[in-house]
Amino acid sequence: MKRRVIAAIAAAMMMIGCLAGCSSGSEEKSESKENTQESTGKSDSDKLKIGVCMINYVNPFYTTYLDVAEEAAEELGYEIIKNSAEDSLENEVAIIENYIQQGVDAILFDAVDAKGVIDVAEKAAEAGIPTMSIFNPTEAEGVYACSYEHKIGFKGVTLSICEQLGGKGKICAIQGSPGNYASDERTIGMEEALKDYPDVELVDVQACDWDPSKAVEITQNWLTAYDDIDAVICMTDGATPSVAEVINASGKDILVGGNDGELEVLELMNEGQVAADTLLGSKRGAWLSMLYVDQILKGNEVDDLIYIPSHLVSSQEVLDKLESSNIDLSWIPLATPDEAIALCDGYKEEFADYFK
Amino acid sequence: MGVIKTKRGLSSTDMKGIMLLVIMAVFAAAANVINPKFLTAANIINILYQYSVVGVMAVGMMMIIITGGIDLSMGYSVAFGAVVCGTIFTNTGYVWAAIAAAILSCTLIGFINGMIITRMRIAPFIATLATMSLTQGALNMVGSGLRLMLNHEVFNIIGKSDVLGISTETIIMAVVMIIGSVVLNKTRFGAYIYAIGSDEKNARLAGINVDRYKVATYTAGGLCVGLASILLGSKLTLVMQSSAGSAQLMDCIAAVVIGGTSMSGGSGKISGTFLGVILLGMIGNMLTLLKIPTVAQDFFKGLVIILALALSLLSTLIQKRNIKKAEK
Repeated sequence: MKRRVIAAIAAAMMMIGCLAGCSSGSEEKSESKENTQESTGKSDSDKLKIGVCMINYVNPFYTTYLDVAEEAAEELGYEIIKNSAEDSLENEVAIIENYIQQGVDAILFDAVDAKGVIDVAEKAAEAGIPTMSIFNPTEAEGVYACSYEHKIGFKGVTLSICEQLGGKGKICAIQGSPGNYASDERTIGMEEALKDYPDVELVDVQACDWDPSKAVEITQNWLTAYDDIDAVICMTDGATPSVAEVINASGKDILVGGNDGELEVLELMNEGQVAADTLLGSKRGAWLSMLYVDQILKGNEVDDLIYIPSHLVSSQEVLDKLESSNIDLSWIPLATPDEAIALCDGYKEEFADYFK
Repeated sequence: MGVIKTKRGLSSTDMKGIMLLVIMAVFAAAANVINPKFLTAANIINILYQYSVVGVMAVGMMMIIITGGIDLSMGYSVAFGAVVCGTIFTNTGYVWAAIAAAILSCTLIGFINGMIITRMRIAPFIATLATMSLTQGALNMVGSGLRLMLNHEVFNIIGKSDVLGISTETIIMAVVMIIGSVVLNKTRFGAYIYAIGSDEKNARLAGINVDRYKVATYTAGGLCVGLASILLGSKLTLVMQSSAGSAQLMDCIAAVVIGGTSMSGGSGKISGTFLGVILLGMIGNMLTLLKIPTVAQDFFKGLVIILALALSLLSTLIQKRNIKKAEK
């Protein structure tokens, strides 16, 4: 009996812990629902409904997207219905099918698999529902896309690292996951940049499958295997801080490059631990994609594909050096870490005139 | 402990250990021919550092497998512990409270596993499959959208410092393994869990409180996971929901199995598990040094597990033949 009571208390403690973790979110959600009605003056039933399907609800990139998308929906007068595909293409297809059946007014999805989602995305578009792929484009006909410039972004990071090495040295690269659109585009960008630096040797490229533990393991193996690495470039900021910390702890003078423009990485750049990064920013992506869908729902003429502009982020000293060189950098905007942090939070101002 | 020895005094577990050493020697020699960096002290220290998290988890997993059970919740539990640690540390700044909470939460998960298995009489595979799902769900709820930086001197000491060139994490793993070995070989608790794994019915008839010792074993397993979660968080600095999962679970089961612990329970040695951890680390390390894409790592790990199991079967067959010969 005593043991059963202990077991019940233990299980209750776990549940309380989990509920505590979620409770603040629920409060925020109910608060935001009230705000929606206050700011637009419309009840939920009057509003056009936008179905959003995210890959999952646990990656900070996606949860931040949802928060800002809901904020945008409040301001623009839409209602968001959200669902998580839980990293499963099958779930994503079912969610989009359900949105078609429900007759939502627009569908936004982040493709678990760019090819696998084509049929259902085209079906939604054929049903007359404006359908948009966010973060990455798909080959689906009649489907809009609001994508990041993955290739340009990582090309910029590679270029900045090569310049900081004086155009000569040995680098290693950590990919996301081969076959993934963003990872493949970033790899192409890196290869394009390296063409202009024949004295920079790409010693090894390994995939971490977006897993920071694996990225750390790969980096440690490189540190042991090669005495003369000059830089490690990492295609995901999910792993960049861990990689930077490992390199910093090794005491070796190795430059670190990242991708995504996550806050922790920008702060590490200010401390001198990261040499270059690309600003993507899920807040920026969320705000621009919602403005884009707003334009579509209003019947305004827009392009089928728009890009969320990437920024090359490096220290002021590095940016000054790049600007004073003869390199053509007209294809990518530049930002210091502090400017990048400001851009992350200033997404409303940044895109205020985008569709004007 | 139900260990049969040959006339030369070698137990089945000893023979498995010797065969494992032979596999490792062949691997190491082959890798060293291709890349002479492989057998350097720095690289071996590196492998031990990389697999210290798995090593600490494997001690707990091994004790559970010796009882004839398994704990499938360990992979998500280690991530849960790291996220609990990160959440408390970033919200309060109290580093020791964060560490204690992580260890306690993982120990609690282990305790709950033990209680479900013994009180509800559910097979460990099914019970821990359910708690794996529960832990994953709890991790998703608590860790959703969080990126937690463990920037503190204590975490830096645990995750990034070294003593005479050997990382603190490796030293912690070694201490946990030594304690595990003492518990298994020198205490009544250790003797009882071998007895439970060898023959649970006889253990009950012998007056052993099987349920109590099983709960204690799963709780000890949870404690090991809690310690591993601190090592994981300290090593990564940035913890989030995706910091660990099924990969760590697979690695720790693989290390135990490769190390010669019988999945049906009743036998196994810490030294074997230690070798299993090193062999797993060697595979990943070797592939990177040989510039083989890491995506092929799971394939090679699978091959090594099959090879180890085949050799384990071979050693059992040889031993049975020797016993038959001796009986004649």
